[in-house]
Amino acid sequence: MDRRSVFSLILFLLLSLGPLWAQAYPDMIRHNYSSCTACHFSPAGGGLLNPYGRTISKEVLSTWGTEKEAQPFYGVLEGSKLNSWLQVGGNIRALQLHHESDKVREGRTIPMQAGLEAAAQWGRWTVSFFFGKLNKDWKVEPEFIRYYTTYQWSDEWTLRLGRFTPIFGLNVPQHTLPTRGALGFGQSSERDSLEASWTGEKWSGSLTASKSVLTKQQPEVESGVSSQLNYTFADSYKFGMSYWLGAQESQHREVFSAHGSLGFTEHFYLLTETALQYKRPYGGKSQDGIFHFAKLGYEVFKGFHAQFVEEYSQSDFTVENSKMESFGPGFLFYPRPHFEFEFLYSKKKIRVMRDDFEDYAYLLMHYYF
Amino acid sequence: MKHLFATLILIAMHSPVALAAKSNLQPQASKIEFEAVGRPSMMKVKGTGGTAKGSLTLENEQVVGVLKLDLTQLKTGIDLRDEHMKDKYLEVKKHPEATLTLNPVSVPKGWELGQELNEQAFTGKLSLHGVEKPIAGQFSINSDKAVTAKFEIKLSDFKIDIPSYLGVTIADMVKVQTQFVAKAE
Repeated sequence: MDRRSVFSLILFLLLSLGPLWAQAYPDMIRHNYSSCTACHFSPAGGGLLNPYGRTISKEVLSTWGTEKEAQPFYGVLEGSKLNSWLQVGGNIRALQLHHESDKVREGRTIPMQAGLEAAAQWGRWTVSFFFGKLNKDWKVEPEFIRYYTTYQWSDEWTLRLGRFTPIFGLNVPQHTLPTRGALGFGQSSERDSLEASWTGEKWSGSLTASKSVLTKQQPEVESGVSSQLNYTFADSYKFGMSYWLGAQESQHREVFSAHGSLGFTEHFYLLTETALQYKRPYGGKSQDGIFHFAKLGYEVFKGFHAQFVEEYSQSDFTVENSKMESFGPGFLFYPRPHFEFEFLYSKKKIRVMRDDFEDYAYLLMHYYF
Repeated sequence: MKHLFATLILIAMHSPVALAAKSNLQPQASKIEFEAVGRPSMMKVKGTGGTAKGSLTLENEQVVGVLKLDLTQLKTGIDLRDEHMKDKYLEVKKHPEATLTLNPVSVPKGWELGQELNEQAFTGKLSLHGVEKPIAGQFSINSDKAVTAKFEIKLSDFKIDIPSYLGVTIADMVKVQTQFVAKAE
């Protein structure tokens, strides 16, 4: 595979994951938020913020802002009857990617996401969807990317049915990380799913049955069951394990994953996950591999985080060229509610392409309303 | 979130105390914490802060005393939550202090400050939000004279509204823990 092909592959992955690059902040464990549902409608985190989450976006995440500014449509609907049961939002997201080595220098602005998101609540029921798919030519296709209904059985139990990405591993926003995209939880990973999740003060867990959707990128359906178990201790340290069993016509696979969200202080945190995948093609050679990332972050001042991200993967232990290594610094900046910027510069070695490191950098720009 | 935690703290007044005859409390050495749970997300709200004044006396194998806690300095880490907690729920402008009056607590014969004392029960009265109610808890003292006292309060007992904000409601029961170094004077 030549360099341009690899760069094209990375671009393709970034383009494809657009709708899935929903903001989810597991590092909020540093403020004792161990459950995603404190701020998001989705039990898996990410996506549309609930009213409480919008307030937190101003109070905890952003450098500047006002209470009203953080609300939907900048508080225009505040106090209205509509706003009491219907939450509407949306996202516009783009990314500037740069790649440089001794033989190539290239960059591109990538359209990632533009769509509307809504959630309506009636008692214990919530219906939510994300509508709109942004193409690489900046045109939005009228398509429901994600939709589901949830039933809050009790304070602890939630049932969810619809098309969404099953709970697995650590739901970080960067779906190009090895533990997301390479394992099938990034690009077009929404599946028809039924999920039960349980959230307690220390323990939480989920069980999901799902079936993937046929797409150009995924020409073969995978049926799967997955589970996750998490334990939180000292209020700001959360460890979890996930298991995936998937079956296709041509193969089946198992994935074991261990992850941690560790809030050492209110400002200093570590997110990490390591997964082992065992692929068993029917009539073919087994393919076992490892997928890992670690992200160390420090909130220098409210809304501005320095970060260092390290990635490693080898999709087949018997194939040296299946290795990928990456590391580098960056920052996250949430200047005001609705705005998010992320920059990462990394040295990346993709063995299938070459034996030494190349320079990559991206700047993600995200506006949500 | 921004709600309730403050309440807990009150209780904490146990804090800085000196377990010797007529010892004055050392507020700078104290640490008061409270913990509440917000549902349905099981979010933890933790608070700390406040200063305590008062004294404890150890006499005839019994500890007695009164502590007053300044509620106006409680912090939960989020400004808006602190504002709600103090203005809407604890109403610190009307009730800036909480008072803990210990019933006589027996300690083993011959016990002296500096010796370990584990999981001792205590009872007392807590005056919070203009309401006085009996409370009960446990305390421990280690060889470094560090005292840890734990107890729970029920917000509704003290006529404090159950904090609720944008879909998150705090549980009625709040855990309170206070740690301090007891200095005999």
